Amino acid sequence: MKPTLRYVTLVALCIIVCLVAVSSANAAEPDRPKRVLMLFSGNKFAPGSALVEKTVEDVLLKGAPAVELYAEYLDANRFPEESHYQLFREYLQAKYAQNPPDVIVAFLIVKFELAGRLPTELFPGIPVVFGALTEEAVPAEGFGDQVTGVIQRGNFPGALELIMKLQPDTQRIVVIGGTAPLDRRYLGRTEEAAGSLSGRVQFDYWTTRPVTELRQAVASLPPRTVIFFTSVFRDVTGKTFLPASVAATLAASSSVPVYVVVDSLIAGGTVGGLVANLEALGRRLGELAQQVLDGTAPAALPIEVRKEGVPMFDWRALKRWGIRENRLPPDSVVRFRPLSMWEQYRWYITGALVIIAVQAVLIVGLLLHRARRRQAEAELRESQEFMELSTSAGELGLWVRDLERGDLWANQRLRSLFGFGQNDVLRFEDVLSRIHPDDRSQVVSLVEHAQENGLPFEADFRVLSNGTERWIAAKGQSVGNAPNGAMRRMGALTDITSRKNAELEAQRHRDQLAHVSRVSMMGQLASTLAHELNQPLGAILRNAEAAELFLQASPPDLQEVRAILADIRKDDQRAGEVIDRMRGLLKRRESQWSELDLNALAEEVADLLRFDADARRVKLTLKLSRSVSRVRGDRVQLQQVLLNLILNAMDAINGCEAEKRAVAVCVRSASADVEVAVSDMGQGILADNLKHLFEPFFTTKPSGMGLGLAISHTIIKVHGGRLWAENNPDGGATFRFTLPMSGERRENTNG
Amino acid sequence: MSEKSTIFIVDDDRSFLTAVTRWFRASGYPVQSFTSASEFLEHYSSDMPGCLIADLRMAGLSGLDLQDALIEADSPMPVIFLTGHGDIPTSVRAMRHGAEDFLTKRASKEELLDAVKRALARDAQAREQRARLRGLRARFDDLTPREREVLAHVLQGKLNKQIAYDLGINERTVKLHRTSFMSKLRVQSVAELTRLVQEADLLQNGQLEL
Repeated sequence: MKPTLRYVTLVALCIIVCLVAVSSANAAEPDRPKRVLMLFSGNKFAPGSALVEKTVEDVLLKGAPAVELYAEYLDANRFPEESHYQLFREYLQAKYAQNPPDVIVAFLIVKFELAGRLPTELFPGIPVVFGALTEEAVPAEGFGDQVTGVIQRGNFPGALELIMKLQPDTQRIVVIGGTAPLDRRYLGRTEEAAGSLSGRVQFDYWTTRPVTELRQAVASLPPRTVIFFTSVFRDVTGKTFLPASVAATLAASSSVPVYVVVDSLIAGGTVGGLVANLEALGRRLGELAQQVLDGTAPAALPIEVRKEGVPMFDWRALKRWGIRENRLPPDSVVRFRPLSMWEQYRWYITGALVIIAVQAVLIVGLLLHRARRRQAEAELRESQEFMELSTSAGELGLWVRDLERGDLWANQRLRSLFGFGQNDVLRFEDVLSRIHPDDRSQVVSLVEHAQENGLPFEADFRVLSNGTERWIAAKGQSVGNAPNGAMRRMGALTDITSRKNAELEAQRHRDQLAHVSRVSMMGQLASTLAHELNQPLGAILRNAEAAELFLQASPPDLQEVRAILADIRKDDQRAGEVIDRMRGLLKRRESQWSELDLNALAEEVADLLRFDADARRVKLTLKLSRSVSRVRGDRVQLQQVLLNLILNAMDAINGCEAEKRAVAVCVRSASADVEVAVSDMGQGILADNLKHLFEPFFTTKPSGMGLGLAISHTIIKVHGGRLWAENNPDGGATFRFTLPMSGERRENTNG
Repeated sequence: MSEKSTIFIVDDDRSFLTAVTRWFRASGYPVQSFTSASEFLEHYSSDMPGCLIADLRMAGLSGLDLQDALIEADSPMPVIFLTGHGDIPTSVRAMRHGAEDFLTKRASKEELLDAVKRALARDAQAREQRARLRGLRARFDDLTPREREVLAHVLQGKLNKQIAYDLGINERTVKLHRTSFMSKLRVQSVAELTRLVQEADLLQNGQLEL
């Protein structure tokens, strides 16, 4: 049987080992959290209790060993019966029998057994830390050496004194109190303290009114009155209250400030005053409990008594009653001061500022970056443009001038057009010198004007190089700044010789055509010409013949002959003038532009036509404007146009009766132009014909070529003006043409 | 009013007027010059012998207007037109209205003189003719009304007997009248009488107009 025995022994050993392990675990429990049991004589909802519980908890939870907190409330104020206390005792016993606390922290207003007898009986050997808010003597000697604590008393004289200090004009203090034991104690203490102020202030004790009445009563208190709220746990009707609620209710409807004696009563609208500091009490209890938990014997911690009070106020109530902070005692605590914006939103504001700062930095960085980039882009663009110009500029001559240094860069094409060598050093003056002398001054003034005003310029001019003449079209403009900061101008030019030649050829054709038209018009004036010449010529002939006869007489009448010769000379001159006048019109010539006065031009044409007009029984009238600007143009061609229009007008009234045989010529200013109008009172122009009037070969005359108006239209167009026809409202037609003013105004002061 | 024929010149071109007036004077003609047609008309009366030289185109009354005015005044002084320019329609019209000639101002002196001579001659002739006519017609002034009646019948070729019957008078009275007017008119025969009447241009539509 040896193997079986061995097996049994092994099992028994195992069991024993296990039991030992378990029991030792049970016995030692080295890392178990400490249990703290908090006992309150009051109820959970009282601010005082809550304050103490919270502060104790805060202190203990910061402590080294982890703690488990338990809280139990006797609620003795509402349940004052002894039976209730017994039930509470049994409840505690039952609840914590298995797991008793490591320390008891008690906050008591009544029922000091909770700190003494109860723990001794229920949890013997467990240390107790108590805090008592009372005016009674606490039987601490009976507590034993496991108990320590703090006794908090009120400072009633100090509280009243503080009231008088803050509101010196107080005449009356209304003391509100209750019927519970603590209430009565407080009232008693108040009465004692009031003795010293009895001369200055009237004290009213409102203890017999129910709380409901009090609310209305305090609303109608006169000024210079102050309420001193002590404590109301129970009022005269026997109803139980939380003093904090009553104080708050009264403060809300009171017409005068409400002072209190405990810090837990500040927060409902009461002013505050010299109060018992339960928060500090709670903290102290926590510290004591912590020390006890750490191993300090309660006996080593003497029981403290606190009775100084701390000045503590509600900032809102101070403001409400106009109590200035500078009247408060220096060590005052002011609560419920609204946080400044900064205090409230400190982190948000800081955060926002940081973000703004960062953004600002980013923005500046971006702007700088952009500016730099723009600059680079511009430079790049410029060089790109230049390159483009250069490559596409097989035909273009290019140049760049540095205005300050007078340097001129010119490309190959420009150099060859102007006849410079590829490597010659060029200055602007060199280029100018190759321009045809007739064109040079105009080009120079254009360039200077453009440069002064920073404008682009355009010019056509001739260039003489190696004996050949070329027409050049140039365009230049200002461009950025050179690295040395000076202005630069650059530009391009091209050879337009063939185009120019074509233009000149076209102009020559126009001149030829104009001449042909003039000559044909002159045909109409042949009778005028003939008549005007035949007069003086006939006179000369007769005079000469008469002179012959006078010379044949004996003696010859030399005086008569002399007179005759003088007359002959005069007539010759007259004939010459007629011819000169006609010749201008009949000559074939190139356009010659000059400054013209349209008044004078109209008068000359009227002179030419006067005889013809008389012959045709037409009244020709001139209406001239006294001050009318000059225009630029070719005198002969413009005379031709006016002649054409007047002859047409006379043709239009050919068959009309005498009153309608009139042609009016009118010269006047019209905004920026000068306008000449030729009107007749003939049949007018048919609406269909109006469109075609100025077309070549359009005519309504049986023997007309139809070129006169077409040529006139072209002449006016070349002069930068407009020629058009209208029917007059009262019969007949008017032909008008406008020419742009040349920029000079001439006032004819003689009228 | 001199009897000698005068050349009247009207032209509004003073220099030409002076020249041509001067020349005619140097050529020995009496000349009167006017610068406008109306000026001339004021001065002129039909018993001035001579001819008129006028410019066609003048301010105011033209040469043609002047010609018409003269025709209307029933004093057909011959007109020579001198013009600075000539166009056919105008010249045709002028000639149709009885102008003596139509010349340009630069016509040669021969042409001009020739025209003037013709004009003056025509004028003289016309005046002579008119004078003669007046003389002839004057003869008829002496006739009594009865003699005129008989004359009219005689001209119709009627016999005395028929005339006496037509007029209700005695044949002998007819003969008496006949003798009377034949001698007053200084004609010997009816043939002469007829010729005289014709010459005096007194027949209108075959009727005697006295």
